[in-house]
Amino acid sequence: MSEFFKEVRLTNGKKVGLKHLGRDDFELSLEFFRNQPENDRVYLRRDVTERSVIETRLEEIENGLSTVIIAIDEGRIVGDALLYVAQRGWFRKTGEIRFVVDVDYRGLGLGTLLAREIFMVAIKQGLRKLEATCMETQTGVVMVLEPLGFEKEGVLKNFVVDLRGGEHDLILLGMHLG
Amino acid sequence: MVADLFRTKHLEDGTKITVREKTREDLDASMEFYASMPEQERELMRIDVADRSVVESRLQELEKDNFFRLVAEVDGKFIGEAILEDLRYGWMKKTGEIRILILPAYRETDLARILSRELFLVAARRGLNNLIARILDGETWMYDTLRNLHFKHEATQKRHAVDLNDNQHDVHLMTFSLTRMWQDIENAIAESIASPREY
Repeated sequence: MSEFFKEVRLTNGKKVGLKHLGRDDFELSLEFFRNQPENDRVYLRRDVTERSVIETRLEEIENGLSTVIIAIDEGRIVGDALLYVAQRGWFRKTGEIRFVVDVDYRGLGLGTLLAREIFMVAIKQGLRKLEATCMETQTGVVMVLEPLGFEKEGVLKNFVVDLRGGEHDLILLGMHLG
Repeated sequence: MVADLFRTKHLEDGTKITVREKTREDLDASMEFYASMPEQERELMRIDVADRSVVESRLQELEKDNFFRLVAEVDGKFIGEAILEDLRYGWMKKTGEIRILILPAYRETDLARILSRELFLVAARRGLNNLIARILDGETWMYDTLRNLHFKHEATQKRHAVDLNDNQHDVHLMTFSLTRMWQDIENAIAESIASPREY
């Protein structure tokens, strides 16, 4: 993996660093997800407060299935954006993106900056399309992605369950890259 | 591996079939089955089913307990296959994805219904609430079959997938609510108890 590092400026003037998530960031990553409000965590796709889930994420990176860019400020992770691409089958040219921004860094453009970096990775990988899915409660995801060119492709009613077992609509978003 | 599920059934035209779980020992029969599918459909399949090593690696996935495959046989030859992948983690822990493949000669029979019923029972045992199917725009037979099985077309994702030749295709998402199906059955039973018919 290349030694990627980039400094970006948030809308409040503060600078944060962007880099690829690596195995050395295991504890920081766990801490980042565990520090998010429970009401936000409950809507995440996987229970990322589990060490085994962090380990799976790192294995997916090491196996070339995904790329994760993290935002770092004052030695801690404040944002996490993931691009997942299947290695074979129908969806080998369609990347799935997911991102989480620390509650204290929301509304500062960090989600958009992370999404843009992920787009660059996707273009370099020769992907033709990006997709994102979220529950109807995750309005921030749609607010970040629609201005970047994502369009809503469908809503699956009462289709997914949160970590507490509550049913939610699943929103499908997509964006063509070429 | 010993198959847990083994049933003898008859199609509407009287043809005797065997429905059983697919095992890792079914490589040769699988290769023959896929080779008998129309070429145009093979090109739209998720994996290159003409590649023995690819099919073999798929069979090894049967070791994982979130994959379940049923086959229908006539005289030892596969005539149909139904696949359930239990998505199981996180958001999708109550959702399974299904695919049904049937040889053209058996598509006008009730084989799709027989295989889907068996899969619904497997899905129920696994505690699933929803099924999802993803169909490429050229898979007309599959789409029509799932509509006949009361799957609902929910969305079309434009140019979302690529086939074996890298051609882009729309993906139709279809869903089936197992929760609603069981509820309908319970309601029908309750209704028949409340208003018994005279025979």
